[in-house]
Amino acid sequence: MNGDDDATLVRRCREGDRHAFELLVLRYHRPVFNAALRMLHDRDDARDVSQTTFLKAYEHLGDYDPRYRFYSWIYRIALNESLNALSSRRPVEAINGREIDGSPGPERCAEGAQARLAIGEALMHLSPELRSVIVLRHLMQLSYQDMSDILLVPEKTVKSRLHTARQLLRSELLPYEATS
Amino acid sequence: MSDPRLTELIHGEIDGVLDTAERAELARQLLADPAARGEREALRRLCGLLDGAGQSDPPADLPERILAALPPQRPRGGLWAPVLQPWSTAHRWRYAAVAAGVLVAGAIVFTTVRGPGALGDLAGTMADSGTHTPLDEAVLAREGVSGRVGLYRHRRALQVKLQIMAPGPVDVLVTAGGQTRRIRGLGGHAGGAATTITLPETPAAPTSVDVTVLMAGREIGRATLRASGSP
Repeated sequence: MNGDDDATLVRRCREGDRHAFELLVLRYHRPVFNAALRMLHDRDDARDVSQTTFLKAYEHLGDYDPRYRFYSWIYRIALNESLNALSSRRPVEAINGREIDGSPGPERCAEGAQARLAIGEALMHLSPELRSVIVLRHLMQLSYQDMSDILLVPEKTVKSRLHTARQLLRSELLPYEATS
Repeated sequence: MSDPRLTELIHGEIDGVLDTAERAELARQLLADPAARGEREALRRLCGLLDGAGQSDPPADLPERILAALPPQRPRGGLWAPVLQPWSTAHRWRYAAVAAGVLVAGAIVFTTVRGPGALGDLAGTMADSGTHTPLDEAVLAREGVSGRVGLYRHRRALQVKLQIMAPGPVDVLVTAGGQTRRIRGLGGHAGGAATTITLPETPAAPTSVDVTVLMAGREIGRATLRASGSP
């Protein structure tokens, strides 16, 4: 992440340079999509949330405070939009059985895909606020300070949620820990 | 493990935030407590798994979809809400040119689903020369569907320009002056192509136009465009 470059692009965008925003889209559409995907566990919903996230960012660039990092701001929008999408979901039937049997596949890439799927499912068993800290820390590799800025909670709360989320995930992902 | 201080130190070590004194404190506790060492290893494996999961590839057309849904200039309104008043002169001319080109390109077929209008009144129109004045616009980004709907004035008539990108066909209901028209099969293979309809002139010109987007018969977006300006 290069904060200075982001700041420059945001400034250009606020001055009316649409191309600058296109560069921000190209830079951040992948992490935004992945954050939404981890929050929602559904590619179509993640795509919609990604679109909405950037549209809202574009519409509200005037509200963006350049003292903060742009990626903190857009990840916060993405998480909020993901939470909105979750709250508007209709109840769905529980998944019958686990798709993952815990045995490692013959191919390394298959193992990675299996692990991603298992992690995705395990995350959905966490509350959205616990899921958010796992996504920000382990998917986006953000610091406690960044997470605090995005979630608008003290660092102490970030750490507490992170510890709780990890403990809950341990039992869910035990078979994968053994093979990782 | 019930010692909250030890828990904090183990998580802090994994997250790389311990200072020298804290690392030494953790080392002493681990040395004295085999259970703590087991706990630490389990958490390290878990975090290694989470860190190593990697990212999924987004849909290849995601950037294009995002950009297609952006309004021509930064608006003040919200999602799927009327935006962009007033427009710059440059935008007015650009959109006038686009709208005229699209209208010349062909006629639009649609059917009446409610209201007294005869089919002949609802047939697509061919554009003639003249200025198309943008009045209002709404953008949509929902459930894989993105696009814009613009309301224009052309001479005394109102025109609605639809530009919808969708994975499959969508229908659009346009309601103005007590009449509703249904435009079928936008998006899908024709995704991104602009469609313009001219509303029939009425003695009392409508002050607003309601636009509803349907996919598989289900409403996924609605907007009211204001024709508040005088011709």
